[in-house]
Amino acid sequence: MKYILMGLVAFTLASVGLVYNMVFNAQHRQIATEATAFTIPAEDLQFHFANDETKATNQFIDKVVETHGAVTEIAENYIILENRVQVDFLNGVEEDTNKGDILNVKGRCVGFDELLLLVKIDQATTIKTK
Amino acid sequence: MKNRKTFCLSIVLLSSVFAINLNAQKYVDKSGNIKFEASEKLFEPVEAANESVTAVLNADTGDFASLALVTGFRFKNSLMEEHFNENYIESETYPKAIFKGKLIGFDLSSLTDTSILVEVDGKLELHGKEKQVKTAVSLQKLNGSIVMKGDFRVSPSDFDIEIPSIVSNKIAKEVLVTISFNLKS
Repeated sequence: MKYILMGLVAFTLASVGLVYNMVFNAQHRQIATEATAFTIPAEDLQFHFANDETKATNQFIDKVVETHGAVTEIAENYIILENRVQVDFLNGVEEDTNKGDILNVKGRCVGFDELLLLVKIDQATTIKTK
Repeated sequence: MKNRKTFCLSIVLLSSVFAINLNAQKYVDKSGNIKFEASEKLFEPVEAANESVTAVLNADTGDFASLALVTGFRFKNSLMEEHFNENYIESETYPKAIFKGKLIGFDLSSLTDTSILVEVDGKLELHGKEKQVKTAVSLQKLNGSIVMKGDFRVSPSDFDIEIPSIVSNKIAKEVLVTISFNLKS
């Protein structure tokens, strides 16, 4: 009887600890392995935001998006596709990226930058390079 | 005929003057840094960073604008990030934080690699509310780009952001915002 009680207490403590850990120390989302919610060309993605920002925000914000287009600008930690979508990579820009390359990326849509009219995507990974 | 010539010439001259005006020298950073901290002693640090902030400076007039997408703020603790977005800042309804203002007495030609302090005065819009922000930033010119650094304090209550009493002792009443931009022409 005593052992059963002790076992029960130990089990309860362990489950409480586990749940606590799961809730308060939960891992960040892994965008690269999450299922893609939208696949859309870079130009179209920006058009949605430029056309109706509120609607596009509700539709795309914080969602996993796959987009593609020609690279029009390369910086240390981001690239720009079709002058319309800024992509911040999870692990920096791949070294062999050149202007004009058609890139297919997967990342999280962060929103629309109205100062530069750019859609921003972060935590991105390259899917394949043509 | 002569009249026509002068007319054409004046048009050309005028348009070139106009072109210079249109070509206001803009310095832009598309991956600027903004950090904020609202930690209280003894509790878990409340801090986040956004490394994809846009900043635009018109070097002719000193007009300055900056935009941070709120969802782009990353916390160490994912639960804190979730609460920040869903309960406090409501990022789906108010996805942006925008500052628009002016660098007072800004003069591009006076910038060197030694940093100087310049006053910034403008309005910060966040969570559907606007607040005047006045602070000093340091400016220096390094390798052709303008480096801007500074910080200022705001309170969540300025922007109608309610902190529930259950966590209010874990979150500072004043939030320290630190900015760092590398503006390129």
